[in-house]
Amino acid sequence: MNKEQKQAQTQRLAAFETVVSEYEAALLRYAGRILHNDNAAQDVVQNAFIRLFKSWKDDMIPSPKLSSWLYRVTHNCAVDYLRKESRRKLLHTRHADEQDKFAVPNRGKGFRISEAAEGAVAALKTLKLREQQLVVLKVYEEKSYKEISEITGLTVSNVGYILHHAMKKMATELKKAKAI
Amino acid sequence: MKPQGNKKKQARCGNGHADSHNGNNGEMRMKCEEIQAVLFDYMTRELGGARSDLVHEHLRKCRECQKAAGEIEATLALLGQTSAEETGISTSLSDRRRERMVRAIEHPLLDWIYVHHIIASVVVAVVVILVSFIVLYKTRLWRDPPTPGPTIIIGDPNGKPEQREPGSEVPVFTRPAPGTGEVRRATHGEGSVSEEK
Repeated sequence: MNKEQKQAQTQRLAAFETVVSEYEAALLRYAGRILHNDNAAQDVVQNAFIRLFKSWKDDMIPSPKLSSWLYRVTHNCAVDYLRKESRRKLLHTRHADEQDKFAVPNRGKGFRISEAAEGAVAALKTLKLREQQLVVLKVYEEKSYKEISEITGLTVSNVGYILHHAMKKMATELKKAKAI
Repeated sequence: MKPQGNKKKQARCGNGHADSHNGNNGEMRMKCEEIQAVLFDYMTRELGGARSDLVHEHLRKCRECQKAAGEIEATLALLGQTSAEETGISTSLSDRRRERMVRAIEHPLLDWIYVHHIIASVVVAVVVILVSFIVLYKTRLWRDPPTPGPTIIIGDPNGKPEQREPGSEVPVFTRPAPGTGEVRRATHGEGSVSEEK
């Protein structure tokens, strides 16, 4: 590697660091909500950033296009992770979850979430992965339908349709659990 | 207004109000089903101006749609209570993950081996076995080299059957020595073969 190449690589690394610090929190939140596991979310986001460095051909500057790409790759990595895990241990834990869907887990003293909010998280888990993805993007990440459409590849009207049904399902589950 | 028309409207709206369905000519008429299908869009400000006004107007009068809107609002409020910090999700990558990222960028081959360690182990094992096999084959360490020596022929080398008395010694002929053309006859002794010309 000659001097110019080394300099270009250093600059690219610096730009990459900027992108990582810009998006890591949002992507970790997103992956954590989909996977319900912080360690797995860290792995998934780390892999998404590695893929970014290897595949991103344009300038590495934070932009809506880059953000959509990162969310899409993070989601794909999360789906891959869930597929792998489902063969190993998630079958077991999901079975346990299904036994007591709305039970409040014991998460220690520092945990401030209310029982009703726990119910909402449990209701979110009952949705299909695609529905979960859209709810998380809309409710927690506050993305517009257009942005969600860019991330998921769905049409804007399809995004609205899926979200409408997802919210209906969640409301029904919460009513059953007498949370609302 | 005919009573039948009212019934139809009650079936649509559920609470008997009629105003929301009595749109003027050219004005968009929306049923409760249609309203409820866009309630989430309305509440998250994704609905366009004119349609948003229609939903707003409908919600003022329709109790069933108000109830549906209330449920969505309550669900959204509950989801909103579970912020990332409260659910134990980190807001930054751990140092270990950062180191792994840098390694993956600077040493892609090492990273590939780290990620695909099972495949890498199998490949290494196969290579080691192949190399060992080739080395052993080339050096012929595992098989004895053939030892040259005289070939012993039992019986007459000219093909004549020999008449022997029972109990006599068995003649043994060896191949001619190179250049001499002589067939040497040997007889079995006790524990050794003695030769005679």
